[in-house]
Amino acid sequence: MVKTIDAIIAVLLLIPLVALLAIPMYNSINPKLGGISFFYWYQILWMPLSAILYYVAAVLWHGKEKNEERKLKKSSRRKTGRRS
Amino acid sequence: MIDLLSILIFLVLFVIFVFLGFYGARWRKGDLTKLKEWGLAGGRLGTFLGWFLLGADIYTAYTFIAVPSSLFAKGAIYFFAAPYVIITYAFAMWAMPKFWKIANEHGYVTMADFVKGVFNSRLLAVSIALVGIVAELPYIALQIVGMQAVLIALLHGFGAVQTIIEFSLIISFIILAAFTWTSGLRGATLSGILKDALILVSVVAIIVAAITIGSFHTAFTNASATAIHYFQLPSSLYNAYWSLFVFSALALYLYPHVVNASLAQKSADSVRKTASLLPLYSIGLAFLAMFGFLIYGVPAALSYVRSFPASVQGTQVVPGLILTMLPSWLSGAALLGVFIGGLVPAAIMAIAAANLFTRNIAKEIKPKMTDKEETRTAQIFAVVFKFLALGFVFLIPATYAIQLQLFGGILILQVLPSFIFGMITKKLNRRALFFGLLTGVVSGIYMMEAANSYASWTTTLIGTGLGPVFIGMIALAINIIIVLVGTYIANAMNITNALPESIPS
Repeated sequence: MVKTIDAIIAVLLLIPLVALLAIPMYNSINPKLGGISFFYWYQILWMPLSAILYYVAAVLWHGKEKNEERKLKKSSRRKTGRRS
Repeated sequence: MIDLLSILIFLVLFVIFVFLGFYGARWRKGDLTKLKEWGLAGGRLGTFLGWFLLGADIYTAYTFIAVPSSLFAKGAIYFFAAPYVIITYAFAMWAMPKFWKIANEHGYVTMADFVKGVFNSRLLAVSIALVGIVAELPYIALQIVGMQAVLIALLHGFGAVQTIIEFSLIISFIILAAFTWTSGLRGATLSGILKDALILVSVVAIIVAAITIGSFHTAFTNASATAIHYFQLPSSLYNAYWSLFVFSALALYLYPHVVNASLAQKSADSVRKTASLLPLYSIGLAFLAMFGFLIYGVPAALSYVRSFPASVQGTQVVPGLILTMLPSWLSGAALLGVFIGGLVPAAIMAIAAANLFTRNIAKEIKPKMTDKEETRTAQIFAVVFKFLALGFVFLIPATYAIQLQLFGGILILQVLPSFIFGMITKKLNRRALFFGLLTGVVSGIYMMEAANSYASWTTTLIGTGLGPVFIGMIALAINIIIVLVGTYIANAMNITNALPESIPS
């Protein structure tokens, strides 16, 4: 379960990188948007998209950390319980 | 338009800004004579204020002056700054919360503290601190160039061009030195809010003006007639483009001032959430960058820019558009935004460098410093480092100011193996890390000089079998190879990083 979440977070963080490394794919003048060549607006479009993906990743990450903390507390409680 | 009204508004707002800077020193009162208070705002910033602080840190004269300037001079290749300020935050979201937790647990305030703790090497820690300080200097120099560019625009009608250029540089430097002396990071935070407000107003105003005039189309036609590749990359520069943005992205969160800003936040989670939203700030950067060719749609601005010598032309792109497209009251405010967009980050960088010097170099020499001595040392060296930074201003033609930041990047990238790999594994050999760092820095400087034929710096790309690529990538690769080979040899010879305390007596 934890591993699936790790993979999802990694994918969310890596999507923008892959999209921006694909230079030959977006290195063109057309289609233009409001007079701006595709090369520019494609990369600008990735700014809001990345913020969304990154924020979702941050929220998932926070949830994951809270889960881990809870498990740690539980296991330490169990240990102390056995001892007493 | 530039007239007395715009200059008056510039001055009035500047006074308000300076007042906020001084007031900031008393805001959320802590003991300012303590170094940690002076440098890290007492570690009490939440997500919202932290977001502003990071914005003030990262969106600087680099964004307002250097990027549009280089795009104007060299074309689309310098739009690498846009993907750079997207993917750097993915790296930050991974590395910075990790570091925040480690720092919080062990009481580390700097990257060098961490390196000293993990690898138990004073030599390595001091070297890391030194590279961190030196890497900040060209970045500070870039901010000074930005401040100078604004003053040139404000004063250009009052005298001979060359005199105005030199006078503007001196005034910028004096203001910067005085500003840093008086208040630490807290002042910079409060003023950062005013700065961001001003910048946002000016960016929105100028984009709206550009769209209503419809000059994107005119700009496209006129700029296409030039020999510069403005609208797409020549395929020979693909490797240059990605190496510039990937390795700039890795470099940003290694700079001491950026590490400081991350540590100043409330929790590891707020570090991560703040970083995740920062690509939204980047939209403004992208538009400012495009002003580098948008200026071809505004003949008055273009002829203003061309009235300057080529060595400063580029720096006048954004000021020129502000002067020609905005009403005079708004242009005064917008120019001030750009001016303090250089001033605040320069102060923050100088403070970070001074902090690092005091904590990880001066205290190694004189371990028993009182809190007061520490703060005084940091204050004095913040000013010293600004003088050293001024030296870098003379290494480049102002139009190519972006090379200062890229050169800082080449240097700071060399701390990556110790800092980032150090958070993942403790198996690397400290001597190998030191020699990797040393070779990375030396080879970086050598390639920089070679690529520019030992003259004024206009590029950070060097020709390879794969076409031109960013020097920072090659220097880091050399560094990492030495670290790995060195560690392998050390392991084969049974040399470890053993702590002195753990040696059986």
